[in-house]
Amino acid sequence: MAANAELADAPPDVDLTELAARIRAGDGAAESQLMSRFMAGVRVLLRRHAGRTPIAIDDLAQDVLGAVLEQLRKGSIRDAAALPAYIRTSAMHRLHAEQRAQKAVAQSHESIDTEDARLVATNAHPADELDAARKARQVRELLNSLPVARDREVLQRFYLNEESCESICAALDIEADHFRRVIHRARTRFREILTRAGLSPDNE
Amino acid sequence: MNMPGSDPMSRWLEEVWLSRYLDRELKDDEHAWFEAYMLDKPHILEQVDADTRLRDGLAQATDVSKRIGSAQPARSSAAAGTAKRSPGLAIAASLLLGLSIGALIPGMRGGGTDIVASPPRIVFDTLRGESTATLSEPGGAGSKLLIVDIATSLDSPILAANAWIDGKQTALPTPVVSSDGFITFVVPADWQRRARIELEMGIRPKSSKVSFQL
Repeated sequence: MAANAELADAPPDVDLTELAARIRAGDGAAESQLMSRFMAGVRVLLRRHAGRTPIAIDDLAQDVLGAVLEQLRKGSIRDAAALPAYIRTSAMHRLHAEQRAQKAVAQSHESIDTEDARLVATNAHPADELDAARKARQVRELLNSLPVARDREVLQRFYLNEESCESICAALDIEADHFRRVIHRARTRFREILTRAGLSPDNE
Repeated sequence: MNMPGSDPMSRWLEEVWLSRYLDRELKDDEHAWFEAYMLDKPHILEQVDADTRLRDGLAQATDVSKRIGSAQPARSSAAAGTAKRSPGLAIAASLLLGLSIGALIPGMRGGGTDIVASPPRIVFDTLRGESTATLSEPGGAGSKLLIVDIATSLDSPILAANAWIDGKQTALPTPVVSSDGFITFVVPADWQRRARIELEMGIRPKSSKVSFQL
């Protein structure tokens, strides 16, 4: 589902204390409200922290909120105002557990000596992979087309190398006070180029 | 920054927090607090998700770029070889290299640090009825991978692909024929001279098998 569409579906706020009380009383509609209210946020959070780990975001978000609902039904979460923090912590724990599990699987693959054994089919459909490769190539070309070389450099250092602001400022001779303006401008320029090319990150 | 309570902040204050969040300027406890705060705020989530997708797009683009072989010492010879071939082949090979490495070697997926140092490449042309390599590029020393390009007819669908290594059969993912009529495999470099790739082409039951000695 497109990110914007799923975010637009989020329902208006309902008092969390009231919502938690209704869930504890067995109100199914209140459970649906809670899921609708936080589902998009949990997905966004998981996507942000998953990085390059291929995670089934929707399944994981369902698991997270399912477990939170279970706790609410049992009345284990007493301070409903702390519910968002509880959901966030649950999501991070669940994500880290998933990442650890995937790392273990990857290491077990690595422990097999023969190169032949690496030729294991993946879940990705070849057409999806081709599409991803094509898009990646386009994004790379567009990045290279940024007219200001420093924009490219800033974006790569900030997003890909995850360098600190201080490190980027030192390397590119940018005043620390100006960094936010520089990164904002680079981001905006790149997003405009992507949008013109029909690859807007806002509408994937 | 002082963390407000759980009540919604004014929009301008949210913008300040969001800006600092995206610029990674928040401390750990502030970062965690803001992520909890934004969970049911669609207008904030939208901007955070757009930033995440921008980051992921850049990362993916860079991964493919690295895999296409940017190691400098071996680049000149590979580039010279590429220049002699049709642009279509070069494009097809570049595209499918990124695809096939991801498709064939799970250990490299998402790792982001493995760079394919100008791998050797061999090209077959089934259209000429030959199953021996028509072009062979040595590539960079130490590359663990071998690229196999096969020109094929767009009219003959590929039904299956298998590799025979030292007499043992291994099923390969069914290749996708590029619009230029090429399929590409990325296989371990030590398959060269000891393995062959076998394609089943056509339409069953009248399909035919073609072998390519690596």
